[in-house]
Amino acid sequence: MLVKTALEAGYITCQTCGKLSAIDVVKCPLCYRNLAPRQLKSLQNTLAWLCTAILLYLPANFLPIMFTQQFSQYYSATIVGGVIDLWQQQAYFIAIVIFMASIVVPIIKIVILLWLVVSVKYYREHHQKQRSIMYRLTEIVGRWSMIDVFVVAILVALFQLGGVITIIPGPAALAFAGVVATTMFAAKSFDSRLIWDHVNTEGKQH
Amino acid sequence: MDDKIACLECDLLIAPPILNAKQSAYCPRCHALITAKSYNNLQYSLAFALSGLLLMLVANFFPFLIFDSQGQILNMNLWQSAWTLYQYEEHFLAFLTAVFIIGLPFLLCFTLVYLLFPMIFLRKLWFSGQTVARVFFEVRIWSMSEVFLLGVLVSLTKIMTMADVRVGISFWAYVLFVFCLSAALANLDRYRFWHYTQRIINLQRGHHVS
Repeated sequence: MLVKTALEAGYITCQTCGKLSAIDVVKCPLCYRNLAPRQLKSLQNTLAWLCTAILLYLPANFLPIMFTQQFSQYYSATIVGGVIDLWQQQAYFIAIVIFMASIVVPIIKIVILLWLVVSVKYYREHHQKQRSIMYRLTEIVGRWSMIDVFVVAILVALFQLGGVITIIPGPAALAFAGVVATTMFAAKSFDSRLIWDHVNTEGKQH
Repeated sequence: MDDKIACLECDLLIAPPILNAKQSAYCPRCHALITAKSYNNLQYSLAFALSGLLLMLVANFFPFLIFDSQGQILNMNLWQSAWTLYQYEEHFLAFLTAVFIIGLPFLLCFTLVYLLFPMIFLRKLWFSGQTVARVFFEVRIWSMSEVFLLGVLVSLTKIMTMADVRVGISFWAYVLFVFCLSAALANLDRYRFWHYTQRIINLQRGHHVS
């Protein structure tokens, strides 16, 4: 069997519904999406979103994510501080979940996407399958980073109801939501088909 | 053109898979899922989406968390997590929270019913069904109800030592809602959904149906 892509055969694949259209069709006849052979300016857009994510990652980690007020005393907590607190309360499992979701996942996601962009741009013919798996991974795990923002939202609402403690959302919460959103946009604007383009597929047996 | 399909992740041109009920198809080159087991089907998806809608309704009208503070019982409902952020002038964050945990999950359930009910029972699409379906597939990744649920568990662990907090009816409804939404989305196979949509469009145009 000859390995051939839809583009080489003269078709455009719709990324939403998977329908093949002739190369000169502008709008997908099945789902009305605007068609392009590959996502327009995929690498540029991905890189731009990634830069934004890296910039937002700094305030997200160094500024406090929430303030705790008790008897006119203020405490502020950063994301890392929250993880350390949980660890000291011996909630090890939850501490690991938060640590993974808030600190490890965003970094890994940014690194993987940077690697994908660079590898597509410069050396094209290594580890395609691994890179595909990596890309799929970034798409799946990205949303789970939002967990810390939701924790703040719940705590803020709970302690506003009454009691001696008040919790106020900090500036890092919005920055962190921004990190999650921008990395999700970065993953979405990366076109995984670029990993496999320029591979010499003609006549290759599979 | 209809006798070929392409892998969405690497654009490899392949023949449409012919599978029995327990087989899934993966791209031979990049191993992306092409179509999942067909006993995960659109009927299940519709059923779960309908139950999800009802549960979401329940989740909106009962206390989510119950806070017992010095004999005073205080209720927090589902919307309050977003609403309190709004009161603290975090308007954009409040908007994102409301959309991610209530708005989008609810809309996804509603859209699924809007799309699948006429497809399955009436063999047609309701008003701008194709556009609605495209938007559905583009925004489904932004629904974060299951992440919120994990967030609730983390918050409860964090404050267990500080306060007496119990979960209310709305919490359990939301748990079931998350289960239903996940099941509805897992049973919705992209390839089969669009294949079926195409057949309905052909039917409406009076073309030969294969």
